[in-house]
Amino acid sequence: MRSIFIFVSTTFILLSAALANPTTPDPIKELSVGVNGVYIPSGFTNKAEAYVVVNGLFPNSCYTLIDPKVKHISTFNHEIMTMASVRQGICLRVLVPFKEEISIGKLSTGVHTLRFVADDGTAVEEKIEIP
Amino acid sequence: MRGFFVLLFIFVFTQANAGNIPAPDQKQIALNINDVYFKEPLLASENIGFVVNGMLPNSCYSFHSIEVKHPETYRHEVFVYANVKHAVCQSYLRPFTEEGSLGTLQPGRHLVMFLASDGTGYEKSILVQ
Repeated sequence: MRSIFIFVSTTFILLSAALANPTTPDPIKELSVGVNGVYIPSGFTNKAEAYVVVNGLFPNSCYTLIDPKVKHISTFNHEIMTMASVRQGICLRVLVPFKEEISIGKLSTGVHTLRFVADDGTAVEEKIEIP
Repeated sequence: MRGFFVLLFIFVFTQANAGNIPAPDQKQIALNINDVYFKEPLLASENIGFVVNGMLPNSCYSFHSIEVKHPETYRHEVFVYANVKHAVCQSYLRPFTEEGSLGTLQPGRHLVMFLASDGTGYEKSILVQ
C-alpha cells in the first residue's frame, strides 16, 4: 500500500513538473525591418516586371528573412516592407547582413515613389522612372 | 488670485513633464546594442558602471536615455532608449556609445539583460566582489 502511494505521488509530481515547464519553442514575431541601401536596376519598361534589391543589417542572430510585402497605395505610390521573423528571447550579438530581391510587378509609365517602411515608423524613399 | 495659482500650477506641471513626453510624431524604442563593457573592478561598495555601444539604423533615431530595472536582487534589466521620428529618413548607420549605471549591487554573480523593443535581448553575467 505504501509503495503504491509513493509511486502515485512520484508520478504526480513528475507529471506536474513536466507540464509546468513545457519545451515549447520561443515565440516568434514578424516585423518589417529598415533597409540600408536600395539598388534599382535600369531599363524597366511598362511591360516588364520591375524589381529592386535591398540590403541591410539584422541587429542579432534572432532575425531571419521572410517574404516581403508590397502594397500599391496608388498607381504611382508603392509601399514595400522587408519582413523578418524574430525569435523572442536572448540572442547572439552579431550583425547579420541581408540582401533581397523584391518584385514590384508591372508599373505604368511615369515616375513612381517607392517607400520602404519599417515597423519603427521610419521609412526610406526612392524614385523609379518607367519610360 | 486663486485662478492665478491654478494657472501657475498647470504651467509648472506641464513644464516638469515636458521632457518625458515624446512629440506626437515620435516614439521611444528600446535599441539593440552591439557590445557592453563593465568598468572593473566590480565592488559591492561602489557604483557599478557600464558602457554600451551600438548602431542607430538611420537619421530618424537619436539617443534618449538608459533605464535600469531591478526585478530581482541578482537579475537586472537595462533598456537603451532612442527617440524615433516617424518620417522619411536618410539611411545610414550611426554608431553610439553611452554610459549607464546599475547602482550598488550585492556581492555575487548578477545577470544583466539588455532588452530591446523587438522582443530580443542579450545577457551578460558579472561577478560583484
